[in-house]
Amino acid sequence: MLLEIKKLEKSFDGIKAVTGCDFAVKENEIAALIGPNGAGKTTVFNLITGLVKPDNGEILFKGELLNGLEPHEISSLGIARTFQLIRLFPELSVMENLLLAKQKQGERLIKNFTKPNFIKKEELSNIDRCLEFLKLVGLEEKRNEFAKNLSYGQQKLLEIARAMSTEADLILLDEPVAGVNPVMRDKIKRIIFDLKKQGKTILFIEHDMKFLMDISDKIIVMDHGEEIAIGTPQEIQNNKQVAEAYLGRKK
Amino acid sequence: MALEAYLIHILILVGIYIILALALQLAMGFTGLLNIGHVAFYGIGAYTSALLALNLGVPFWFGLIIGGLVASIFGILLAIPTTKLKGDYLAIGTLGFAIIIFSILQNWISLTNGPLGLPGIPKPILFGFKFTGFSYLILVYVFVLITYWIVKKIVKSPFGRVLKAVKDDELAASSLGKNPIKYKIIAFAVSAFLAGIAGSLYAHYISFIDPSSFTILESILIISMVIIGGLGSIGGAIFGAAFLILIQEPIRFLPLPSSVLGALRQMIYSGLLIILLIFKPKGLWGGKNASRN
Ligand SMILES: Nc1ncnc2c1ncn2[C@@H]1O[C@H](COP(=O)(O)OP(=O)(O)OP(=O)(O)O)[C@@H](O)[C@H]1O
Ligand SMILES: [Mg+2]
Repeated sequence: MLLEIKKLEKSFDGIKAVTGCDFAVKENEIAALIGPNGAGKTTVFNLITGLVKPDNGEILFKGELLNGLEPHEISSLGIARTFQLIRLFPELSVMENLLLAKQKQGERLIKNFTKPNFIKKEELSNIDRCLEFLKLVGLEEKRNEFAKNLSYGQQKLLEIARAMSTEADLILLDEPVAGVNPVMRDKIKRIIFDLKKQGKTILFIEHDMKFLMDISDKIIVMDHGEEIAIGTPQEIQNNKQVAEAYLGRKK
Repeated sequence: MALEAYLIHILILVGIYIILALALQLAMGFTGLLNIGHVAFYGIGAYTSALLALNLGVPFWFGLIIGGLVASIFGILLAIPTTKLKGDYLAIGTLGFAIIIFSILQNWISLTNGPLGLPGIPKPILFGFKFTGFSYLILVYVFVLITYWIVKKIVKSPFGRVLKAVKDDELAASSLGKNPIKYKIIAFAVSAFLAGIAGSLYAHYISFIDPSSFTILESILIISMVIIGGLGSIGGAIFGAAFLILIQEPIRFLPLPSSVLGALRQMIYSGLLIILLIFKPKGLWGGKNASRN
């Protein structure tokens, strides 16, 4: 198992957001995390990436315990993410947004003064690599534009491209196709399949049923902070408990 | 002759403030650290270098570097607790720091000579050549160039890009594997180092320093330079420094008592700042296009 979530719990000022959530994601799997609004999905992402600290339970990545690590440490282990509310660097260019996804020597102050030629070379090869990701999402012509000047859909694509540029093994996408038109949605679908082909593992949150049924190997359904069902798209479609969680329980 | 000396004096001050403004631009404009205590590093550099020269006969060249290093050590000590804070709290923390340094300069009489200040700070000497007047002007601008080169190099580097990212969205930067605290501390340390250098250049030029040169008003002046020039712009910091130093000179010659002149100067600064923030919020030099890659 690449990612294991065990009995995870988190409350905010008495509000229980995650209450004993258990699930695992296998290597090279496309897994969807679904559930009604407020079910605790984004909170699970925030717990995995270290933005909020768990009250109880364990998060294991490649067998290593992530509890207590800082977000930058978790990222360096090979987990990248996008945010439900897009978080780009608005005052930086599209290309700079991608270059920031790279961990490199040039980010050490002294190296820029002691090894300027090496840093220049490193930068050029990073630019080449990032350009490939930009082409993949069709934003190569916008490379010198401020991120804040992109349209909403383009910003979503850029954020996905940025997560890809980290070359992380596990990519977490928080509602990648929310508010995105059908053409863009197909593009994102293809990108996710591509990532799988490259050997990456994807865990994504999504409300678009058709989209997630199409691409997922596994679906994890959350309600009231815990997983209520885990299975293949087919199994989930026929699960009564899941229908109840979405449509409300019949009395 | 007198006019020439006067011009040299003004240009030396402009040079010293350009270094201070470039240093602050790195921390405030590029990294987003609202540092109200910048003047403290200037003062620490000035006093360190002056005391080393007066008490131990340490040559200017070493005093300058040590002044910068001591300032940057204080910068790191201040940054460790305060950069974890956000916005307003960081500003208040740095303000408190500047007040503490000022009162140390004022009250630790056995070391700093208190309000009476330190007279007789020697001029720099290199192979028997003494830097005064015009040659001191050249010396200051050599350091201006070095500072410009360092700040420019940092800002254009991948390291500088992380600083800008931390300013833009700290949380997103940390999700990409950058440790925001580490970057803020380094930016703070470099900024403090350069301000310390400026302090040393000032002390050995003016040859007498006292705490009154290192009050919060001085910090406000440097912050104004950076904002008027344009946050996040190197050219802006240079322009802002030159502009705010040069503009006070004509005021000096107005036929008014000095108590009125001082207040008038402050009024002109704040007036300029308000007008600018209304009509050109990105500063006179700011608002460039995104950089090309
Ligand atoms: N930082 C926070 N502070 C306080 N409450 C929070 C915080 N983050 C989440 N919550 C609460 O936790 C609960 C779960 O929120 P979460 O964002 O995880 O839901 P979600 O499943 O992602 O929903 P949606 O589909 O609407 O995005 C909600 O009640 C929310 O208000
Ligand atoms: Mg959510």
